[in-house]
Amino acid sequence: MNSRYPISLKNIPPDAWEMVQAISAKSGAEVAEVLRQCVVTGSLIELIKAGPDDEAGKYGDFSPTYLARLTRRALGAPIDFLLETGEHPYLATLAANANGPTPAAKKEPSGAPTARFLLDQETVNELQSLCMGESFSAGWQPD
Amino acid sequence: MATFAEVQTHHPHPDSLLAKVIAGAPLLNSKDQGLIEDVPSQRWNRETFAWSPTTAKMACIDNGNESLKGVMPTVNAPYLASLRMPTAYAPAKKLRGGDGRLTWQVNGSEEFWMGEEALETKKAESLPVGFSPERFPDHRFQRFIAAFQVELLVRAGHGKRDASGKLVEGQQGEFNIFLAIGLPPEEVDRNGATYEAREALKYIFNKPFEVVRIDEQGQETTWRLFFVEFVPYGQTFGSFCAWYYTLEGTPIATNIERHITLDIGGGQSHMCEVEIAHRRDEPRPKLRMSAEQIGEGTILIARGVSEAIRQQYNTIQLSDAEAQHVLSSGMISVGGRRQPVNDIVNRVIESRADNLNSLLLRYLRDGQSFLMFTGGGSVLLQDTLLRLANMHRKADSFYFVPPELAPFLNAIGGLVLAQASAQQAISRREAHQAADTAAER
Repeated sequence: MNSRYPISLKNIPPDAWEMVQAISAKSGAEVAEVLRQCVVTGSLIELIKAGPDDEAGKYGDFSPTYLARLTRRALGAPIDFLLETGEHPYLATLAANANGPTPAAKKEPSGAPTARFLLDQETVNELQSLCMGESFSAGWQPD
Repeated sequence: MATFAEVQTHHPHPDSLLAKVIAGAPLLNSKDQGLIEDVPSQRWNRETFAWSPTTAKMACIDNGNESLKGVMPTVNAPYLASLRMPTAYAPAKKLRGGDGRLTWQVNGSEEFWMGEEALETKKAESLPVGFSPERFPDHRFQRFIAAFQVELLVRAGHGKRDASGKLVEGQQGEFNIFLAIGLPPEEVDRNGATYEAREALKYIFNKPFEVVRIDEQGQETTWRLFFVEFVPYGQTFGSFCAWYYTLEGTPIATNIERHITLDIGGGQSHMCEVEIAHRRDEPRPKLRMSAEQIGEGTILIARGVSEAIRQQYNTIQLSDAEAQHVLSSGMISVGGRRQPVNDIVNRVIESRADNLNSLLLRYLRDGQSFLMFTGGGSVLLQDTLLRLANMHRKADSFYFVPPELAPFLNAIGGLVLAQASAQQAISRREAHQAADTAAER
């Protein structure tokens, strides 16, 4: 595997380039930073699309569980979007299950960290500006 | 006289965390998301002198002088488990008959009882009252907080259970705790916990606790516990957070511009003032917060009751923890018999009402603010406080947190702060993972 970073990007479709510019304009982030995020998120999706290497189910050096945790964060908003627009490929299955589990049962078993972000980023920043919600270990030095 | 529940005209915003908890509603937002339960963290290994990644359970403890109050998400259900434990400690004695008492042993210490179990012995010791540097060095207090956390885990449904949900005897495994900890506002400044408070927290930070819990039937379970992260916060600010934030993670819509929480505690009483500045062209108001101690808590009244009881029954001497218990229960054991002492308690409360009035007067008379009364003392002194509030203010300019929640609200709101810190921890972890993944390519 070549571990060198890419130094140039070619043959990006015009639509994709337009989307990158739109994200940059909206978020105020540098185009290079948006492209970096796209590579990080896109590589996850492309790796999953490529399928597992063998029957053990590993994807390169990554276990399915590890990949699933990374992907959940990246795909939460797109899945919401697909549901809202009625384009989710398994909409019928989801609808059939809609009356099944209760909210409590729908919750995931504890054990694995889950990226369920209840607070919006502005609230996190707001609390930080009030010096609340800061971690203790960040400034901790062993005696 | 009408109770404060009957006269309240202000109610918390229906979307606020406070309203959801009062209603007993599932703590889920419109996307079916609940509070984070497990937080990626790191644990300091004292042998290898290095950090290792781990996952920790989120919890919140309001470290009150009179009692510890804790909340944490329950296992597989979108609700909160809560626990309040008076800060009373008693070395355990061998019981030879009848039901046992919930008994604890921490890191091979003496066996002990705590909270109500300790108070029932009539020989309860008070744990240190004051600020963190006075409390955390006390070994009994360190045991107390570890045992308290284990009991909170039990309430939340953790541990190895049989089919009926009962704990199974023996080792329960290792629990790392990501703890929001409510400290007096004097111990939290713009840089987080003060130097003195941080030094005090080191007594339990990343320290291994082996906690043995022996229940009333003699069943023994062992829990290994590490407090791997603290999110210190000014305890009274927690109550504001529960009132102000929704489960959608956003503030409530309100036209209140100055919100003052009056937190009547056991050891101390505090105020927390938040200015909610609405500005034109800005969709979200800006917050400014200040907090301070406004005086002693109900301990002054409890000591007054203790003194009055000693004068009437000269062989009875109560510790601070016992006196606080008498204040809330209105009962005392005289000659081995339970006896009501409501008349003494009411007399002392009445005689201290002027003092309470003078403490609160400047806030009661401040016509430009909205007042929220909370804390265990607000329940105990509800009649007096309601009379004072009605004397100085219109009914829609104050709110009493319901008695079943008032002792816990600082801790419930603390979970909002823990949530913010957990989200940052998860984002950091994911950024590192993504960077590592990219670097490996």
